[in-house]
Amino acid sequence: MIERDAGEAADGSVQRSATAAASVPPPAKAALAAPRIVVRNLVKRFRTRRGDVLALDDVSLEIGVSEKVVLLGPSGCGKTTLLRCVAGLEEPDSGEIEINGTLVFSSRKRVSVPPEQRGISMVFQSYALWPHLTVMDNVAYPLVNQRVPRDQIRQRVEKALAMVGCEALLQRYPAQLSGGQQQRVSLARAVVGSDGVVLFDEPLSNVDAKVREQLRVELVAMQRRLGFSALYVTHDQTEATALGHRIAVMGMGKVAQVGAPRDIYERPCSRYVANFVGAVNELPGRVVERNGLEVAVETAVGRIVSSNGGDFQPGAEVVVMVRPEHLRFAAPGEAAAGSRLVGTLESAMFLGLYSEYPVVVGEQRLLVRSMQAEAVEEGQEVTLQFDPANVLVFA
Amino acid sequence: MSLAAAGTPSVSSLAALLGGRRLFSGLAWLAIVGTTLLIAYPIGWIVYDAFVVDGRLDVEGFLAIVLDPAILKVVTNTIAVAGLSGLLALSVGAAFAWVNERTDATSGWTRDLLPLLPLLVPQIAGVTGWVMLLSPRAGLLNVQFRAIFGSGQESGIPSGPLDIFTFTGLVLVMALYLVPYVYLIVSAALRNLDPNLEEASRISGAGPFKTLWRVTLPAIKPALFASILILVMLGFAFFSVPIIIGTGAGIDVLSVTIYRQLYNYPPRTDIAIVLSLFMMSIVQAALLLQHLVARAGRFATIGGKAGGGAKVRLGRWRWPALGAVFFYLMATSVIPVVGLLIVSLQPFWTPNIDVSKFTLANYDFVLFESSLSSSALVNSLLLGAIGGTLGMLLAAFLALCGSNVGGTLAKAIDAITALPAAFPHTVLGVGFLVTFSQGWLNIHGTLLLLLLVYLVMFLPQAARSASSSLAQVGRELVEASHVFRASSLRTFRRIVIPLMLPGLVAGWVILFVQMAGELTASALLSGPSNPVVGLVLLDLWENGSFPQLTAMALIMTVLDTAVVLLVLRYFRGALRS
Repeated sequence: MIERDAGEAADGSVQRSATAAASVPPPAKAALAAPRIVVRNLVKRFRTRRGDVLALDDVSLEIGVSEKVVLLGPSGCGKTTLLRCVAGLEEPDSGEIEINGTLVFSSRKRVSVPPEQRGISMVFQSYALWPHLTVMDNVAYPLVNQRVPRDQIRQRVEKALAMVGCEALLQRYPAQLSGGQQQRVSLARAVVGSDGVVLFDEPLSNVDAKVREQLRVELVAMQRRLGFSALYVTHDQTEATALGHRIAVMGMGKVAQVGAPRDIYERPCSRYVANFVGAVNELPGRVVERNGLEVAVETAVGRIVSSNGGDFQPGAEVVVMVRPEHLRFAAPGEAAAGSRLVGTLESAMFLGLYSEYPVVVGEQRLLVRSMQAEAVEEGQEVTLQFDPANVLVFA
Repeated sequence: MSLAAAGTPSVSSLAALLGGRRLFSGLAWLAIVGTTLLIAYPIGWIVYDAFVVDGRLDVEGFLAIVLDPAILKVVTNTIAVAGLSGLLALSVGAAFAWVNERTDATSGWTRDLLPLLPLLVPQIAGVTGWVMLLSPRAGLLNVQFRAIFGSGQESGIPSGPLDIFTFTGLVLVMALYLVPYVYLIVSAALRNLDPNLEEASRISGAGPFKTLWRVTLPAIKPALFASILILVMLGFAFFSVPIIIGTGAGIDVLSVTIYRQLYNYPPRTDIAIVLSLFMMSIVQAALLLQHLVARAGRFATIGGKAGGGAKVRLGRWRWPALGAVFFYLMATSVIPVVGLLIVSLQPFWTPNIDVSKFTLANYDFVLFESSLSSSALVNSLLLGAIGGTLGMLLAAFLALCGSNVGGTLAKAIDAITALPAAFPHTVLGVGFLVTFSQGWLNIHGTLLLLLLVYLVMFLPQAARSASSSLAQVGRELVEASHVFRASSLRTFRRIVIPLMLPGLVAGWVILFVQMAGELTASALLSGPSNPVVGLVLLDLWENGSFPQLTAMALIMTVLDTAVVLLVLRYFRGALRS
């Protein structure tokens, strides 16, 4: 009853449910104005025997209509806690949460709406299919709770199951399904009665690699078709960049950076984010020269120039970062441009899509990735070419 | 509001149940206080009665009784019987567990039946069955042996070759009923022990038996200690076997002596109280010892998935091992039942089986003629059903409280549900007898008294069943229900209860069977006004009415089996594990 009110309060009449949304075109641009989920200054402490742990440290985030936001971070960074706070499974210590325009949590106003009245649905890491109910009953559960008329339930369950390719499993029990099938059924349950907000708690981490790739593609297609908004938790960087419209990289209970996957990858705002999203080569050093945005950094193995100098002044202790795929071997006789380092090729590892070449420069080992077979041999002396535009500098 | 964030993530999900936290924990505390009083008051009364005479502390009376040579003889008997039968049960139970879990001499059905089968035949029925077969003169098997070997005819009255009314007979039959307890503990430990540990030993060059000795047994030491503890507790308090066989063999043990002091003329309540106190101190000492051993803590708890490791091939020992398990199963079920059946069909107990004289008169007597035995059957079934239901409801409620509220309440629940296990059933029986037959608490001779003592006695068992069935309900399953818009009450009804149900039903079956066939406390607390099956069987035995006794025992066996099979039929696999 209450989630109905919530839905109406949100935007009058649009998006009654995901299945209704399935037949209508993606939401009009005008609807984008009101975000689906708003999180304001959320704080959550866990009391442990060794003292308090700040799981969420003043986190704020917005998720728009039909937008997928991925929470990415290592275990213990607070991403799952944030998701569970939005779901109502965990109670924050302070802050506010709005879903579909309704205030569902506010420490100041003493509002705390229980999960069943928040009008959300969720896909769990362990699938969380009830073992004593058939696939039919599992998927029908949210509809029964919403008092959907009996004759409509079966039709909607079948439609949802058909969408994930599990329409033949109607009368089976969860224990009779494979992991992939279970997660598909769990997906069907999440969208069958959804009011347009679906939460995902590492949904692909329990299925094997092949199924994971398949499900990833299907998830993207399904979200595009149904147009629900999603908050998606994962520790897998590939999954995050593939699925998210925006990624929120989390660390130590804070949102370290929010942005489009490409922005996060190419312009990380900190060493932490750069390290978590993709591989990096790190070289500590000191700024010795500054010219506009361009700085020269003296490292233990030589001078490296970057055009992303930020506001580092000469004398500042910094760390220079280059992604392995941004390093390349200079061809013999090629004109010097940017910085160069000379080292010894340690080995060449063929990894299928690309090859990896560890190069020892002084005391440092730098990694080079290349999509082509490079004409270099193990033990050979090689010259590494740095493009100043791809060299990042952090404190 | 902020109480909810006490660090347990599941708090928000189930805590709102049953009308909110305050009512929830209030009821739990009520249950805890009630149970505590039901244990502390009778036990406290016994202690008070034994040491305080005319308002002064007096140890002399206590010492005079304990140091009486006749009583000392009883104590040494008890130690010898409990010790030897315990040792036997430990070796056989552990061997069966190893054979079933680690060797190729196993089959699915022996694994499932071993702990289950001894439950079906009430102990006193099984014991009398064996007596019918192996009593020296009229024992049905002895007659067959005499016919085959032609022995025992020399003297006037034919007797032997086997005699159950001996020290050996007493120890063997007691061990028969102690084996399942060891088996359950040790096989669970073996199931949790990563077979890789043993495989690593085999690969390092140790044979299967060296591996057993050097790796397996040391790794399951805590389980072996736990078995020894339970053997001490059960062995010292064992009643059903000693009252039948021990009495026939002239070997009195503590539990039987306590019973006789209370019910022979003149009753000596003071001696009974002192002896139960003595029995209790032995059990407490064993508990303390186990606590110290466990605290020394050189045992790592072994986690890990028991992924079906390679089975030890027993070779030519496979068939003898299978045979031993099979014989054990027969010895606890079919063999004594055959003895019961034959005697129950005879007009009187005679070793000469004459089919033409078979009659159903004994069944007619037990079921219809004797009002005592027919009302005892009704009472026992009622007590089993009501006691089982109340016990499981209470245990399930406490388990839910414990897992959702946490903190002090959870600790109190753990402590209180384990507490009755520290008191032998005879002691609880004496305590209830003394305290509930006087003043405003006088409920002597009522079924309520029996119900209360059964509930207290079997609370630890009920609590174990309930907490293991609650463990079946994964946290995410409950959370998922809330997320998909089910209220707390609906989640409880549609998700929590159905998932817990098989475990609760299994717990109910065990409670039902044990309560309906209870003898130890019933012998003390049941009487003509509140008869139960255990008491009637005992009376029939003491009066020498063997055919009626066997008919009654067989009826009880059939009823138990019917209930267990019915439940198994509707809840397949409920009794596994």
